[in-house]
Amino acid sequence: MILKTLDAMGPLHGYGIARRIEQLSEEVLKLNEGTVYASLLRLTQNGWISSDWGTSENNRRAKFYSITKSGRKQLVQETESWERIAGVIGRVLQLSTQK
Amino acid sequence: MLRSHLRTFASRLHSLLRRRTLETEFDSEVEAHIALLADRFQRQGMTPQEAHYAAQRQFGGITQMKEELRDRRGFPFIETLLQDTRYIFRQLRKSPVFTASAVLTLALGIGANTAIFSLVDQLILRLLPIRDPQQVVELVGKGNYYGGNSGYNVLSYPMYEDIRDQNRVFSRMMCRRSENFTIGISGQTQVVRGELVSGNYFGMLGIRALLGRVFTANDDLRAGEGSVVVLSHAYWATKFGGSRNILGKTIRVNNYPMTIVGVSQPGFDGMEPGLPGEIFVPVTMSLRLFSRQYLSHLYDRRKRSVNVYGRLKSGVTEVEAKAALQPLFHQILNREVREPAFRHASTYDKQQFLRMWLDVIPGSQGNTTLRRQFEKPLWILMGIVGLVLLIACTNLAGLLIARSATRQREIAVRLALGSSRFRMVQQLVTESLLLSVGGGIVGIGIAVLLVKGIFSFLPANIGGYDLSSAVDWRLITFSFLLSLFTGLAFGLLPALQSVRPNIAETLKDQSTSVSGATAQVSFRKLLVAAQVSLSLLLLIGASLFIRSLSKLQSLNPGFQTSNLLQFQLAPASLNYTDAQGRAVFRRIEQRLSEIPGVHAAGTAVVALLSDDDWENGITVAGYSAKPGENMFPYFNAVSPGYFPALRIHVLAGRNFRDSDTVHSAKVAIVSQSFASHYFGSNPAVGQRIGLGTDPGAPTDIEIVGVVNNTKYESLQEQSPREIFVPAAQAYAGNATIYVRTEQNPESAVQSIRQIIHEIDPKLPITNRRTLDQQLNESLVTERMIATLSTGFSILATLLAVIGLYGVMSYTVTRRAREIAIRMALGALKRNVIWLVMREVLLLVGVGIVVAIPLALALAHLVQAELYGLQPTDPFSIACATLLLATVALLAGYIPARRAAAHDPIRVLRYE
Repeated sequence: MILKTLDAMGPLHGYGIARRIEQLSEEVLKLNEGTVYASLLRLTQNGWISSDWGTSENNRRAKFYSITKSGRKQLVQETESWERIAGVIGRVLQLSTQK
Repeated sequence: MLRSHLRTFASRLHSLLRRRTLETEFDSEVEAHIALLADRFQRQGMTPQEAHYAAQRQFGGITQMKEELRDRRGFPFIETLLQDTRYIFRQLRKSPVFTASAVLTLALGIGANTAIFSLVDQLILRLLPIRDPQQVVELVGKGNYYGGNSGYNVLSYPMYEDIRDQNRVFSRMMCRRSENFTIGISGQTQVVRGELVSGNYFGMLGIRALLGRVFTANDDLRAGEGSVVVLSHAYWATKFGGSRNILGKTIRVNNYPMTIVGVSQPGFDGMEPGLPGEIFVPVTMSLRLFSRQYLSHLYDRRKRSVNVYGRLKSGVTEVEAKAALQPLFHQILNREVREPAFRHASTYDKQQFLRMWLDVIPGSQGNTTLRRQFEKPLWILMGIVGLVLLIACTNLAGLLIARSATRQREIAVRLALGSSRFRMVQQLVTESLLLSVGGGIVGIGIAVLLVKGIFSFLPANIGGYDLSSAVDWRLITFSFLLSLFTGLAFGLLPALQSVRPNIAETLKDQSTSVSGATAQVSFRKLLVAAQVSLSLLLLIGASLFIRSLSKLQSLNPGFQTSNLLQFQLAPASLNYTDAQGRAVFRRIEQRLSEIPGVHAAGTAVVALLSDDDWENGITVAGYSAKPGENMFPYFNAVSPGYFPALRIHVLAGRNFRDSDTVHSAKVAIVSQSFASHYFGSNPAVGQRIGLGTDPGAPTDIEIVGVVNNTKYESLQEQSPREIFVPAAQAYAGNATIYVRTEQNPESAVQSIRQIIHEIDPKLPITNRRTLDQQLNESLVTERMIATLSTGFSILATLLAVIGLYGVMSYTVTRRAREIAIRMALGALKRNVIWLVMREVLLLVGVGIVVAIPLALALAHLVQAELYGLQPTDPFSIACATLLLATVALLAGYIPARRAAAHDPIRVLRYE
């Protein structure tokens, strides 16, 4: 989800990512925003995103995260596998409704 | 997958190093986030205060977040390790006495192990610096050979050629032999160690030339041609100062001009580790260089004189090679047995000869005389130092338990606050590991000193062995691994012990929690009993070795060793003819005995007690040998001055005379043991013997005298059957000269040198030493084991006694109140002493009872190293036990006395 956000919106800081997720999930996923940072660390360690210091809207120093090349690759892979699973589940569900 | 793991790892490593920066960065990141959130809430209409709180709420717990990230970011394990290390360093600094004694105890244990390992490594484990040493094997003929041998594990040169040309398992083969050479460089002569080698020697080993060239297969094509020599790098560097101009120079090797064609690559000293070869000469040149010896019979199939090595083809194992070689070997034997040399051989000898087989043994370590001599003793010493280390570990385990007892409260508090047991154990083990690594580092220093010490009492001729006390990475690795092992060994048990306390009990008043401490004390007592056992084992070993050595030293070799000097001369190496050589020896003997203060001088071909021997098959007239009976007595060729010089007594018949010459009738003198074995109570003088065991061998030698028994090869052997023949009738080209002096033999050295110089200034004197020195050197392994095992067992006993003292002192302190009450109620001092000593007696008793059966069970391991006593020798065991019991009881008596000396009133009031 974070990867997708970064892919779509370009470099963002943690706050921006939290807002975007809030927006997308239409408040269905209501998490502590701090947990975003745990995910960000994991993604950085995997080399899927990189970070740089920049200045935020209110003129504070903030870390901007952006997706890397291997991150995009990962995103494509994940998307594909998700779609595959979703497709399978969809078909299964359709089967059960047809009955 | 792997890449992403690596990336994560790198990132974590990076975080580990920049932990502080990353934390502040995260702080500011969080701060920015919350500020932005707050701004948003404010825009939605909250007051700044409310907005700030709401923002914090929405963000969630910052501290939890931080901890989670911290765990993810670095390596928590390493971080706690570093943290522990810092903490432990602080702790250890606070108790310097504990730290010092722990490190020192370990350093002694690890140092002793590292020192012995250094010798084991150099003498036993190390492979030759050749290409793929594991592929190199040596060929050894097993069974009853028909003919003569010169050297160990030798085959005949023609046999080598046959196998080289016809086998299918070796990619290359070579042969070699160690020899001493007399080198003449610009008028000066000296004796150097070298090797006679086949032309393909260097190619097979993969040794290149540093300068010029090494030998090729062309250098040994024709016998007696190819007068070329290759120098070892070390010899070239020391004797020729590393000069590049030596190529093409001519030096005289055994007085024969040879051209230096190359210097071999550094680090390679030939095939005898510890006995560096300094020059290399083509084996086919031996016909020119050694006219008088076995080597002049290089092409004789009945004389074995070369070590044969092969390099296995890739994929061929030793076992396969051995199987594949047998048919070829037997084909060669079958051909040999039909040769004229077997004309007189008995059917039995022929059968035995054909039953021989070819063994294939690893050759990666070369031909090691030294290893054969020291292997067993070194493993025994390794076992001894292993036990010492075990005792040191036990001691430290005891110390750590005592220490953790004082830390019970701290540990209980930490456990109560939620620290995991694993975490506590991790910390305690880290502590013991730190101590042991410290001990390891100091131990390396101790090892160097110890190795130097061991070298210092190795005799001069062993000093010539190329052993070093230098520290290399192998030693450091060994020491480090040993430290880790010890750290775990002595650290883990106490650590597990100390995290077991009943938290509630301990956290309540300490004085009521005696129960937990009792378990620890009994564990410590167990350790002490174990120490007592182990050190008793070592003491028993030491006393066995000492007794064995003293028995050896008090042995009568059959001749008087004091005021006796020996040295060697080899006129043959200067191309003297036999007649010239004989004449020179006669003149030398004559001149030497005229020196004032010299009683007698004589020569012998085989030097006494130097592991040198000359055996020959014989036939005794009127005596029919059973098939397979050993008819190979020792021989020596001696001059008329020999028996008087050594003070060997002629018991019957006569000594040799100057009139016994090449041209006169052949005569012999035999030892008493020879006479009684072959002639019983009949007089030996007048009997006849002959050389060779073949049926019908002529018995043309008359026995003219009988002398008392003497030791021949070594002191340990039983007095062997021996035959002496006149030096004049068995000239060998070299001899050892014995000079009996009135006073200190060293005083005659100057005159001896002068006389030899007058006779031939080019004749080098070698191996000069007194017989007492020679005797001591022949006992070098025995002395080494006895000295070191005594030293180590004393060390071990000391450690054990300290352990005993420690645990008893602790017990006495802990029971002070109980003892005071007893005394207040009327117990006498001796009752109190008995109270304590009873425990000491129990500990020591258990130790002894365990140790003695153990000693008896391990006895066979040292049997081979003992002379004249059984490893279960009751006297040695009793001495060791008595010594240990005395020292241990004394150590226990001190705290017992102290306990009894307490003033009960004061103790009770203090409590």
